[in-house]
Amino acid sequence: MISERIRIADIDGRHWKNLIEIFRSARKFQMPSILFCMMRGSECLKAIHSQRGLMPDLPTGNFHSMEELAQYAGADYVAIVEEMFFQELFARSQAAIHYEDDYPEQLLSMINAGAEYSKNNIRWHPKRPYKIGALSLDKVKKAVKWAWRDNTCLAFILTDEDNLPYTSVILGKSEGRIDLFTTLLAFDLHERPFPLRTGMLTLNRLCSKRYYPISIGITMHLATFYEMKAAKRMLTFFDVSQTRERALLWPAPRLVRIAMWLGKFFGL
Amino acid sequence: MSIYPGLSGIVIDGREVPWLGGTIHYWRLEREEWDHILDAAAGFGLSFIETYIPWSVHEIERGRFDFGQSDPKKDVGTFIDMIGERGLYVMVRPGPHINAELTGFGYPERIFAREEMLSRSALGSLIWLPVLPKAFPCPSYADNKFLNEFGLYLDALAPVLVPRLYPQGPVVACQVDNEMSYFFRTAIYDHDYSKSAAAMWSVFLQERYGALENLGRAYGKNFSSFESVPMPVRFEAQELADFRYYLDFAEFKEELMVRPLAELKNMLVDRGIDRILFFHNYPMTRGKTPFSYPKTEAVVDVSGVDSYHRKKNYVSIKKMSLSVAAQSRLPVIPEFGAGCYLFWPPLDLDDHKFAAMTALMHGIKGINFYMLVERERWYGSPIDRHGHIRTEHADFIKKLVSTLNEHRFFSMKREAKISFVSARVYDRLEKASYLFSPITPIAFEFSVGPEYLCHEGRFGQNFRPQIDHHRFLEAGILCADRHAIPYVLADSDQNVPFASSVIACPTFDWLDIAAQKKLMEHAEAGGIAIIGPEMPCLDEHFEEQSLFEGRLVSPEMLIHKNPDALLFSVGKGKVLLVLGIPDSEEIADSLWSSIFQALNIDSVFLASSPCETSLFQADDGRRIVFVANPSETSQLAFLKPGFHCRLSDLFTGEEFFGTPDAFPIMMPAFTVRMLKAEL
Repeated sequence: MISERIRIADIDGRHWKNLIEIFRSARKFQMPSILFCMMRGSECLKAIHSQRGLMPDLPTGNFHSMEELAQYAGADYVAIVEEMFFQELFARSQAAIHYEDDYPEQLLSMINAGAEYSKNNIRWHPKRPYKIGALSLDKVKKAVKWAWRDNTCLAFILTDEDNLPYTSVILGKSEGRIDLFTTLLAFDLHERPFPLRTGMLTLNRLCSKRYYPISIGITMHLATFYEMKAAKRMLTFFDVSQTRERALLWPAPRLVRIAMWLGKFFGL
Repeated sequence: MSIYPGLSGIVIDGREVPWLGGTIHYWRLEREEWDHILDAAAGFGLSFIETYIPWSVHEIERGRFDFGQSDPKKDVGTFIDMIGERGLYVMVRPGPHINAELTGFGYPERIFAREEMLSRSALGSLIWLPVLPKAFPCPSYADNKFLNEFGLYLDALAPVLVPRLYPQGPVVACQVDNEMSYFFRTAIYDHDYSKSAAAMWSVFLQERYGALENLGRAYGKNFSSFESVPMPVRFEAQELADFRYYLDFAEFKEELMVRPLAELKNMLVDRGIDRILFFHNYPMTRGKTPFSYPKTEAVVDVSGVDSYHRKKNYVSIKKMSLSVAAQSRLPVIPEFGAGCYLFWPPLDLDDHKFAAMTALMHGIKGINFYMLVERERWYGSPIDRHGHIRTEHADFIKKLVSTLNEHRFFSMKREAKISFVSARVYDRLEKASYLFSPITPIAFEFSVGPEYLCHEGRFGQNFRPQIDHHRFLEAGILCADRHAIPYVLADSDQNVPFASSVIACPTFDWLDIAAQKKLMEHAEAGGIAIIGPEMPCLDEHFEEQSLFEGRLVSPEMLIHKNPDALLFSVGKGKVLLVLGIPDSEEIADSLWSSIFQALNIDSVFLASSPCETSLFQADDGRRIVFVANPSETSQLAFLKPGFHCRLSDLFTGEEFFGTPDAFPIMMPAFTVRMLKAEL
C-alpha cells in the first residue's frame, strides 16, 4: 500500500502540524488504574502502578489471588508478566516480518504476532480490558483499489474563514501503492486563497501537469470540519455542508458518490 | 598542513574556524539547480557545508558505482568542487549508516538478504527497524563481511574524495558512520547476539583476563574456553560477586560500538582519506552506557550529539548540552534540526530558535543546521529545494551566525561552579540491571529514573548503586538548579579535565580503582571532591582496595552539628564525604544548600523562577548572559547580576537597566535572550 520509493516532498510545515492537530482527539479518556508486575517465578522484580507510580517491595507472595493484590494496590486491573516477556514479544514480532512485504503489511504482521503472544502471556485480573483479534489489510486494500484509481491523487484541504489554506494533503497512487505525499506548497498555493470549487479546479490542473489528476478532492472550512467531527451522522452533515457551500467533494467518482449515498441511507 | 579540534572550532592551518555549517543533499536536488542553491547557502555566513555520501545511492550493483557518470545528480565530486569555489569548507559523511529518511538508511538492499551479516536478538531473531516506508533488518557492525562489503564502496569513493581533501580541495572533515547506537535500540539485552558479536565478546574477555583461570576467579566458575562464556540475556546476579560478569558485558556493549567505529575509521585512512578531522555524532542522549564520549574520542577527534528538540524539551536539551559540554573535546551538534522529517513530532521555527539558543546557553560550541536546504522527506528548511530563501527562518540563522562570529562567542567560557560526575561503573550496573530489554532506554532517558527501570535488589549492600547513584547526583543537581549555580554533567571516565574545582561523584562501598584515583587526584591537586553516600573500600573486583581508606583522617564537620558531611584534607585540596542519601527531597535540598553555602559555591546571575541564566566570559572581560524562560507563559524575570551593568539584547537591540540586585526583564513564553553585559 505504500511504495518504498514514495516521494514525500514540498511539505508545508504549518499545514502538516495543523493536519496532525485536527485529528487529535479532544476527548480525555479516563484510563483505569493498572498495577503492572514483572515476575521472576514468585519474586516480583518490578511493580508499577499507573497512577501511584513505583511500588517497591510489594509483597506479592502474601496474596492468595490477583483479586487481593488488586485490592491491596488499589488498582482496577492487575497485569502480570514474566521477566522475559518483552524479549519474547519482540522476538516473535520481529520473526513475523518479511522484507518483501510493504510497510503496512510489515507492521500488521508484527502487531498480530505480538498480540497473539500477549494474549497468552499477560495475566490480567479482571480479564483483559481489550480484545485482540488478528487484523487484516485485505479489506482495506480492496476498498482502496475499488475507490481510488491508479495514477490519480486524493486531495484534502481545509481553509479558514478567509479561504486561506489551513491544512492540505495530497496523496498519489500508482501500481497499487501510495507513491506521493505532498501539500499545496508543491504548487505554490499554500498561502493563497483557496475558494472551494475554483481552488480545487486550479489544483487539479497543476497537479495533473506535475503528478496525476485528482480523482477525489475534499475541501472544507475548518469550522465545518470540526462540526462534522462532532456530528452524529457525519456523512449527512457533510452533504448538508455541501449544499451550504461550506464543503465540497469534487471530483467525486460515481462509485464514491454511490458509497456516500448508501452511507447516508444507513444513517452515517 | 594540520587540522585538529580547537577549543572553539576546527583549527585549520593554525586558524580556528567556528563549527557552523549546514547540510545539503546533492543527490536529492536537480543538478541544474545546484549553482543557485549553493549561492543561496553561501549567503548564510557559515563555514561549512556538510553532506552524506550514501552507499545505496551510488551503488548500481555490487562493485559498480555511479558518481555522476550516469546520473548527474550523483556527481558528488563536482558538488564538492562547487562548494569549494564559494570559499566554504566541506564535511562529508559516507556512512555506512546514513538514515536521512532513506529507504533502508543508506545500506544497499542486497545487504538485507545476507542473514549472516545481520544483527540478532538475545533469542535469535533478526533485529528490525520499523521505519517508514519499509522496515529493514539491521546489519551487524561486528561482522567483518559486512564491513568488507562497505570497503568495496570506499574503494570506489576514495578516488573521488582523496583529490578533494584539504589543502588540495575543500574537504576538511569526515564523519565516521552516523548515530551509532545499535540503531537506537540501546537496551543492553536487545542486540547484537550474532556469531560475530559473540566472537568479539570472547576477544574482549581474553584481552581483559588473559588466562582462563583469571576469568574463572572473577566469575566464580570455570570455563573451558573464552568462547564458552555466553553473553548474558538478562540480569541474574544473586550477590555482589556476580556483578563482575554483568559489568563486563555492559562495558563490552560500549566496546561493541567503538571497535567497529575504529575499524571504519581505519578503512577510510587506509584508502587515503586521512589527515583531516574525524568526528561522530550520537543520537539525542546524555552519553551514558553504551555511549562513551571518551571511548569514541579515542577513535575520532570529536564526538558530538544530535538535537531535534521541541521547545517543550528544555530540560532534555539542557542536560544533553551540559553533558557533551563537559565530556567532549569540542561539544558540537552535527545534526541540529532545521526543519524536520515527517514522522517526528512536528518542529517549527519557534522550536528551532528556542532549542538553538538553549543549546548554546548550556555550552554547545558548534552547530550544523540539518537541513539547510530542504529535500524530499523533509520540510521547513531555510532554503527550499529550488534555492528559494524562506526569509523568516533564514534571517534567524543568518543573525545567529553573524552574532556568534561578531562577538567571538565560541571563544568565551561558561564558568561552571561544580561538576556532577556520573561514575561510569554504576551507570554500567544501572544498564546491566535494566529489566525492560529490548524496549530502548533512550525513550526514558530524560523522563524516568532508574528506580522505575532497574532491578531493585541490594545484593547484600547498604545501598542500591544501580539506582542510588542517580539519586545522589539528582539531589545535588536539583539544588544547584534552584540556587542558579552553574554546573556541568561530567563522567568519571572522561579524558577532558573537569570544568570546575568542585566535583561531586557518587561512591558506594565499591568503586573501580581508576575512578577512585581520578577523584583522589582531583582533590590532591587542590580541588574539592564531594563523594558519598559511602566511602569506597573495595575495587571493581570487589576486593579490598581503597585509595580513600587511611587517607581520609581527622575529619572536620563541614556543616555545624551535622556529622553526615565530613571534610578531609588531602594534598592541596579536600574530600567531602556526604554520608547517606536523604529520603525526602526537602532534607536533600537542605543538605546540598548547606554544602554549597559552606563551600562558597554561589549563584551567578540569579534569575527568578522559572527563568534561568547562564554567563559566558572572555579573558578580555567581554560577557554574554543568556536568560531562558522555558515556561508556557510570559515572565517578568528579575535578575540579580551582583554587579552594576547594562544589558542589551543581541537579537532585538533592546536595552535593559537595573541594579545589581534587581534587573527586571520581560521574557515571553519559550524564549531565550542572548544579552551583552557591559559594566
